Amino acid sequence: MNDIVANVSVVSIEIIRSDGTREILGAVTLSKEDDDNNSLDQPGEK
Amino acid sequence: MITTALTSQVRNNLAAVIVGSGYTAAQPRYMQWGTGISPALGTDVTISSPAGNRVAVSGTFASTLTTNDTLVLTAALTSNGPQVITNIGLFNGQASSADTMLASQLNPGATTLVVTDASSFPSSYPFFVQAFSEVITVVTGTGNTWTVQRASNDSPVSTNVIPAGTRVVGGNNTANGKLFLKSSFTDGVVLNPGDTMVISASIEFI
Repeated sequence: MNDIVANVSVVSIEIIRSDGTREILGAVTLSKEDDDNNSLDQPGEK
Repeated sequence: MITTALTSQVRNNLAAVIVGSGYTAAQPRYMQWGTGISPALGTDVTISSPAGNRVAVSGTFASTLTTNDTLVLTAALTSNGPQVITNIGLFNGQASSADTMLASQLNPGATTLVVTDASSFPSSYPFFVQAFSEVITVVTGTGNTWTVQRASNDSPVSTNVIPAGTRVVGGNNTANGKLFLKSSFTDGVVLNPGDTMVISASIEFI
């Protein structure tokens, strides 16, 4: 197996509602290839 | 699901850095969100249906596996009204003024594009615009009529008619600057007035 990943982009999102409540969204996606369906779902993501 | 792509712009720069030349030092300094439907692709030059103003990001290095192997870029955006946010992007510039709509439908393969108002776009050519996921090079123009090359920057060609009224947003060589990273959210994030999204984008090397 020759699977080299040079970089990973991670975007996490916290939503702070106007009433002060907070929600966390997050996901990890390998940015090496866009069309390989490399998205790795994270618990609690939207 | 959130899908994130580093764009062709930053990929080329990162590869060029390794050999020490051929890269531009423009930094991703601003974040903007959008309400369009197009998913994040590495070929994108802007976000999908940008909304609101761009806000400055703060950047810091972090250590994920080895010292300072991660760049963390963070910004907070607050919603002025009810909206569904579907994507965000990081740009090198703050302006996002080059933005118009198709005045008439764009057929597959067509090389003449008519917009409702080209006044916010450059009068020097070429420059990139994007409609849905297709990046289009404007090679020349007169008034609101442009002569274009389709499916630029290795983007997917639109095989269906792009209808009149579709947003046409500027990319490279327009006031909108360059897109470094884009994230799209499958279901969208429903925001009400006063809601804030704190977004952290980490670029890691592992």
